Formats: sequence, C-alpha cells, structure tokens
Amino acid sequence: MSPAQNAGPLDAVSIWLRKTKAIIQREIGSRYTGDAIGYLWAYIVPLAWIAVIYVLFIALDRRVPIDTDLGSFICSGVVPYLCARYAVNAILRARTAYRHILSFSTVSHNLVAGAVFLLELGNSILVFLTLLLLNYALFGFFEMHDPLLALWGFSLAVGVGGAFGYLMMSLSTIWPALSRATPIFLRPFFYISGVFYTANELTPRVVELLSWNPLFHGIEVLRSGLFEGYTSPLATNAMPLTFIAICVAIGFMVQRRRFSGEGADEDASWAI
Amino acid sequence: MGDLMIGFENCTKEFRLDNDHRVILDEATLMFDPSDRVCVLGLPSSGKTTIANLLSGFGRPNAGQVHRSGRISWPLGFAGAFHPSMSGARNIEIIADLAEAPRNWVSAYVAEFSELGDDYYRPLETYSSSMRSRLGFALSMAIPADTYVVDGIVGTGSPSYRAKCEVAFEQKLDNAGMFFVTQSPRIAEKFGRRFAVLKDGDFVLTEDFSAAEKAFEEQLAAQDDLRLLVEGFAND
Repeated sequence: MSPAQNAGPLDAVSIWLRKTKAIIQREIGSRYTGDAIGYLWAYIVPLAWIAVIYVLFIALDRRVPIDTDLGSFICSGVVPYLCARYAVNAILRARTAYRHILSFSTVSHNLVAGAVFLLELGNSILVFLTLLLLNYALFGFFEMHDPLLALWGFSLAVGVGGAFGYLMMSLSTIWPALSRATPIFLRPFFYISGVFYTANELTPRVVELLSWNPLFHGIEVLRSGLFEGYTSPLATNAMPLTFIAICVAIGFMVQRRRFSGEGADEDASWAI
Repeated sequence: MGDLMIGFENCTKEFRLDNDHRVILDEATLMFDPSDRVCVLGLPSSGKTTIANLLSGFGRPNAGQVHRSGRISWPLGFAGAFHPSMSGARNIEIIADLAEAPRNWVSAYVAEFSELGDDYYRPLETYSSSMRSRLGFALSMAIPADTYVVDGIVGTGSPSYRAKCEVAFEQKLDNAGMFFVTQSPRIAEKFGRRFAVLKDGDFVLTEDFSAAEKAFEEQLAAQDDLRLLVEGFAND
C-alpha cells in the first residue's frame, strides 16, 4: 500500500502537491529542454502568429472591429486560441510521455493531466501578459478594463482546451488513433472561434450557429474583460462551463471504466 | 487463485507489423505468489522483454489479464523514463516523489551506488550508456519492491560492478520475490526457485531447474536444426 493510501486528508493533499510539483518540474525540464532558448520558444510561436495576422490585417486593409489597437485585438483572439490548442496537445502528449511512470499505482492519468494543465494554464497566462506588455512597450497600447473578468475569460478558453484534451486522452486509451486525429478536429476552430473577428460582426444566423463553440465564448468573455464597453452575445459562461463539465465527466468515467480492473488488482505497483 | 497471486491469466500478446505476425503469448497462464522467485527461460527473440514489460505495467495484453498486486518493480535497471536534458539527480528526485518514496534518501543512495560522482549532477545527455545503466540499476535498488521484474541480466557495466549489483540484488531477494525472464540457464539457476520455459507462446512450468534446462536446451537444439536446414536450402 502506498503512503498516500494510509495518510490523513492533510498528508494526502501534501503528497498530491509534491507529485504535482514533480510532474511540473519534469515537464519544464523536458519540454523547454531546460535552457533559456527553450523557454523563449513558448513566446516566439504566438508572437509569430500575431505577426502573420498583423501583416494580413494591414495587407487586406481590415479595420479592427473594436475601439482598440490592432495589437491588443489580435492578442485577444490568437493567444487564447493558441493556448487552448497547447493545452490539448500537452495533455494528449502526456499519455505517451508518462507511459512508464503511469505504471506506478501512485500516479494516475488524472494526476498527470491535472498537473500538465496547471502548468499550461500558468504558462499561458504568463505568455499572454508578456505579449500585452510587449504591445505596450512597442506601440504604447495596453488594454485591461476588468482584470478578473479577463483572467476568467482566458482561463475559460484554456480550460476548454484542457477539458477537450483530457477527454481525448481518456478516449485514446480505448482508440489510440484518436490522439493522432485530434489536430484534424481542432483545425477548423481557428476559423470559427472569433480569432480575427468578433461575434458582433456576424449575422444573427451565424452567431446562432457558432454559439455552440465554447472556445468562442471564452474568447468573447476575455474581450469583455479587456476592452471597456465591449459587449458580445457570445460572452457567456454557461456554454464553456457545460462543455468543460461534460468533457471532464466523460473522460473521468472512461478512465474509471478502463482502469477499474487494474485498480482493484494493483494496489501499489509503485516500486522501481 | 488467491487474491494476492500475480502473473498472467489466459494472456495473449501479439504484434502485427506489415506482413509479420508475431505471437508472444497465446492464452498463456502463469500465476505465482509475489514472494516467489520465478525464472522463465526463453529463446532469443521470443518476446522476453515484452513479457517483462507486461508484468511491469508498461503494456497491456491483447486478451486475458495481467494480475499485479503489491509493489511490482520496473524491469531491473530500466532507464527509459529518464529525461536526457535533466541531471541524473533531478531525474531520480522526480521519480522518487512520484513513487512516494523518500526523495533525499533515494537520491543519496543512488548517488553512492551508481558511482557517478559529480556526473550525477550533470544532464543525462552527457552520460554514456553504461552510466545510464548504472543510474537505472541504482534506482531499482533504491526503492523496495515486493516483486522485482528482471529482463535478461542482473547488473551492468564492468565485471566488478556487475558483481556488486548481483550482491545487492540477492540482498533484496531476502525480503522480496522475483520474476526473471532470461536466456541464460546459469543466471536462472543462481537466482530462481521455480522455473518455467517459454514454449510456443505458453509458459511451461517444470519441476525443477534441471527439467527447465533440459527443455530449454531441446528448444535451442531445435532452433539450431531449423537454422541449419534454412542455411542448407539457401546454399543449394
């Protein structure tokens, strides 16, 4: 029996925190290869996306649909979209990256997915803030109408990605090909999540069609927090929260069903 | 079968790669007590590593069930979970935390047992394969198990270091069991108490080591005869 199984609630929390920290340390050490250039890479990719869309906006002479600067508007769409995708990919990748460590009964898929998501969320918030500050440093614009609402909207967007990643991770324990097919599901979301437009620019019929997209809601909630006076028919919490709850519940049930036989059988296969 | 028995129950494990279909286990059953010292003799390329990995929880059978209870180890000396960009020390500390083992004690033990010196604190990508193996083996010795899984050999590196590993492993076996898959009857005799031979995807339990050795040598001879026959056809 593992120490956590004998521990009281406080000890169990402490052990959970220690294991979560260990996974985060392993992720940081491995994903960014432990050096400064590796860390910079986390910023360079979204910066490149922003630059491409920035150039496209200017080349196509597209006006910003909100009373704000181009940099802030692009950041409000591209960064949450990218971070949601990062969350999906990171959680999906964890299933194979931790396949040996997952043989410990002390380490579950849920623990790994949770730790990877926490790291991804923290990292995403840091990247977003850094890019907003970079926009201020370069062009003198900084938008932050309601910091808490902005943080909530951003977290909703990344949370949608994390929950979808968890669902796909769970389902791919049954159908491994799903993890490879996930990028195909995700690709259309670049075009249907309000990355480079707002819900207010769309016709009511299109808004109605896209209202099922939880990522769009998260991005619009973020914009409500960033831009003063911005309101959107899609800036609602219900859709993304429901989506997150459904994905997590299904993923959790799949995990339980998939590993229930082992759980009863292997109470502590944690030694090395 | 008792609740605490571990092992393989009607297990089938097969691989399909292009036109190649390899059956490692074919509804094979081998159940044993976690404290048993079981040795399975298998021919080269018969799937010994796959079988060790199954019991260690690295994979799942295509059919049947692998029963795992108590603390079952990774294959002895396994170094596949280390990350090359992190130091040996950091790798060990993280794995110790995840295994809920005392991190500082484990790290100190591994540092000393692996004899890596200052290299213990350097990134694994600077290690030779021998250094990685020593780190892996030291980690295997640092955390206690109820059943150790061994794939092929005990120990690594120079003869003196390998002897040190064998001594350490024998001490561990005072309070633990073992599941050993090997093609070496000499090592099987040294560490095993119960013996089986892997034959046509099944575990064939034998009465004692002599019977296992005899069955294994017959398999080897049959394999040699087949090889000679194929070579004969090729030469014709």
